[in-house]
Amino acid sequence: MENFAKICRMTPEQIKQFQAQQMQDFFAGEVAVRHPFYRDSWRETGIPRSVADLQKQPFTVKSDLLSQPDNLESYRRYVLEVPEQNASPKSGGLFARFKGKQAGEIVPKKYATNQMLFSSGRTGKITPYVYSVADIENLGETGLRMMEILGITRDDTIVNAMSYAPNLSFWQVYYGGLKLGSTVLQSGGGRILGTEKILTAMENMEASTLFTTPGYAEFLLQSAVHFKLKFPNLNKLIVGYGPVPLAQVKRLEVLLHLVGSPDGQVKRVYFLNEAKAAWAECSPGSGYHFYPDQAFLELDSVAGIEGRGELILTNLNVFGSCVVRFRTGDLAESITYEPCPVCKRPLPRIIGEIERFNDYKNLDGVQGRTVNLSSLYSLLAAEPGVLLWQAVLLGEPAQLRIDTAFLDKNQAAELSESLQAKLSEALGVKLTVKPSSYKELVDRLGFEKYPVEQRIMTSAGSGK
Amino acid sequence: MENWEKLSKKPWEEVRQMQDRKLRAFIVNQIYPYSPHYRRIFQDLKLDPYKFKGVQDLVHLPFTYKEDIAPTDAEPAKHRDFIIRPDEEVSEKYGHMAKLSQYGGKQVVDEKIFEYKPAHIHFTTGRTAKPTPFVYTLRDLETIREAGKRLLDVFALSEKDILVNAFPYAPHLAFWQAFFAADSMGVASLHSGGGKVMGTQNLMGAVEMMKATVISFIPGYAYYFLRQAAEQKRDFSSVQKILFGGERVPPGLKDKIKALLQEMGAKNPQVLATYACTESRLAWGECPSEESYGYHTYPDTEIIEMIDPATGEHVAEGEEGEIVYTALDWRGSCLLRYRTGDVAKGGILYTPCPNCGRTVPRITSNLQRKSEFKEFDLTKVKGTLVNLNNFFPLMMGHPQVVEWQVEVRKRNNDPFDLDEINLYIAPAAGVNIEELKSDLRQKVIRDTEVAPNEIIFLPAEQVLARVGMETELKEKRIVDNRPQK
Repeated sequence: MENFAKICRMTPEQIKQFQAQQMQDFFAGEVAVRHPFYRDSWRETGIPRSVADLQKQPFTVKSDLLSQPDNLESYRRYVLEVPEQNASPKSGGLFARFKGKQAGEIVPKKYATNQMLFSSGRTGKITPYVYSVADIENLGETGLRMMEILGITRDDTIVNAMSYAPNLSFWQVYYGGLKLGSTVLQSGGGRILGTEKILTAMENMEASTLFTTPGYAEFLLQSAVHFKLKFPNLNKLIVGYGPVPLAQVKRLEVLLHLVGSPDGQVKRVYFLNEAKAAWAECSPGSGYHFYPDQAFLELDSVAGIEGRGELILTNLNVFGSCVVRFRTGDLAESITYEPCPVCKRPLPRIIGEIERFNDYKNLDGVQGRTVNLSSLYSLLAAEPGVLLWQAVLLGEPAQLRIDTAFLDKNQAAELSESLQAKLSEALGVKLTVKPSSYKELVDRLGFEKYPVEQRIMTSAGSGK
Repeated sequence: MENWEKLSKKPWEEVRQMQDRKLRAFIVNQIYPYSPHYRRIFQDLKLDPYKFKGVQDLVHLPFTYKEDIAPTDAEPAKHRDFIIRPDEEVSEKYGHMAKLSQYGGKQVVDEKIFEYKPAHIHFTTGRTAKPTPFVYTLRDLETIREAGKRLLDVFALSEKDILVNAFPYAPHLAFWQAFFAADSMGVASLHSGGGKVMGTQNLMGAVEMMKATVISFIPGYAYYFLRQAAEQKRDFSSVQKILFGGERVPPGLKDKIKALLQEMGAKNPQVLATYACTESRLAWGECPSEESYGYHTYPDTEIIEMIDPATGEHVAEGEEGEIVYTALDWRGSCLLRYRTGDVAKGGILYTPCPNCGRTVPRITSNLQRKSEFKEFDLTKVKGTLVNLNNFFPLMMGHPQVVEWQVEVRKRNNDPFDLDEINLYIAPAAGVNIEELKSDLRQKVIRDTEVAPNEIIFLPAEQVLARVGMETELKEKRIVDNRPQK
């Protein structure tokens, strides 16, 4: 990968040119030569040479990456082939050319599979994504960049409470922390170590930084408040791998205050498995900074959803699994190449809350009318009286019920009523708010059972 | 670290001289100045570290026990005293050196951070004491990576292998040793986190999809996983080796596992075991062979003593003894003369391995855990000592037992009444229950010298739920439900 400091000194125009050049080189030198699917497809259409060419390419969707039942190795159609062991190197400068076979052996190493990660956990269909030796090295570099953007240094003591799964979120934090040289506890999150042990470890290690999912962060800090634990050293809470509206950032800041860290900062990271890197915000709302030598992003408009588009990813400089124009299923407001107004870095940024396309649901059966269930995260995070919630979709057409645990249990009935009116108006749909106990919701959300809590349940059987 | 290729061929006498040299340097340069616990011991016992000649002088040091390190409510940070850490005075000195360094202080500081700053943490499982953290510095991570490479070399794996690491994810040694081993050897891997993380079905799919040649498992989960896979007629023809860790491996279980793999198309599969404890901070393995020739250790990273557990005296080569571990040239958490509580029935061997020819010391593979010798009040004569270890080879190897659990409880749940031992068994299909009951009763008496009070037959799912196969980090094979007096 390119020297990060050098990228950070470029002008926006230079960044665009640099990214276009990276894309051209990568497509011509790697994808068109070694990618089984795009190589075949570009034989007819030609190799995209510019952003305009790229935008004429068809989209790649998640199902393309899945293995077919009759051919379990079909996922390899999206994995760059490893060059022949004794193939003479196409690049690598004088050393490679003079050393012949010996240098030739160095080349394939970076293509060799190091790890297989999966983009879904226990319940969904697992989508394999191959990380080569070079991809893992780059994961260290992007991890270091992430830490720099988040303001984390070698002196920080980190608890990695991203839920363990063979996916990007855990491993990005692992490789970032390793490259940085910080002290890191790779806890595996609540379902591995349990909340009590994580709290004890944070206390004993005097952790200054915690990485976790937003829902679990809230639960963990609520538990700390309940048990009157104090974390005065915890000055950075980094959340991602789930929707984190700005209202929830504020809520987490309040919780940090309550556990004895009044100046604690909450920052957001966007983890996209297929991107092979996590993108961080230097400050909440500044936009997710991505790397022009590693990804090209577009925003594609979605019918029926105004002001947002779906993020379309094209990998750059990856060597295992590789996608071109991949529909991520994530929505954002815009992509900007203007320097960040907060940190001044000239990195391109994804602007706006990241929402899942799947959270836009048709609830009342009226064709074309969808309700953005992602907005519940923001609406309910702004309610200080709400401790926990779970949205349950019942029946067909679906009826929406929000099971809610209130801070003041004695006022639950009145609070439910007013919340119901407020949410109905905001979403433009009829719904019910049902008071629930905190304990019951903790159990149903599954903070210690699932990689990410079950916030929106589509199954009718799940609710009581 | 030494070159493994050369080290594993050196005559034992030369290896011992190397250990003497390394131990002297380690004690003088690291342990005495930077380990608060051991510095105190040297001072209290008025031992001069500079007079330490080598391995034979270890006997002057007292043993270190689990309770010396494990945190307690009164002393939650006890483990820190075992971490090699230059104190503030020394740090000042390094800081000063960094400032003075004509060629750039940053490099000096980076080197010290590489050597001493904790970067990675493992915990003990906390079965017998509170979970104890063991820290690794970046330098130690290089050591565990090299140890991983050696481990895979002993297992005769190569870069062409494909590994599914099915150890349950936890900040524990088993998962991470497999990770570091695969990473350093360049073996393509899936670090699944086990059934609890990925789900057993997804894991089976991954083995087929990747055409895995090697799977690393906890033994109990392996048997469950492969049984399910065989029932579903999965294609595991690519699997050549199963690596076990985290628990002892009864010989009968190896046969059951091989039979299941062969049923799914595997040709001549091998089942190999590792031995490790969190305190040793790396794992040792046995070389591929029908017969086990013991766990091949790395004499440049540890010193293994074998002692009589009762007297603490050294036993002769090949004699049964408790394994005592001493770290050599590590940083982070370092222990000297640590009593592992594991008893090697055949002791330690210094002769070259008859199978692979490596000359490194070998710990024989029939291991028993001392903590599983429990005291029972089975009769009015109180305090019968029962070796619960013996249930493992018996049950795991029994061809008619699919799943099992031993429960120790008090009669009538009364803390002052007699102890009872109940056996929960999921039998193989088509087995004559009465015959199996009688067979088990006889064999349990033969192997443990106690008779089970009840043998209860349950469907496999119920026994699996009792042992927590997909919910616990390690399945609960022996549960002690006796209420506290």
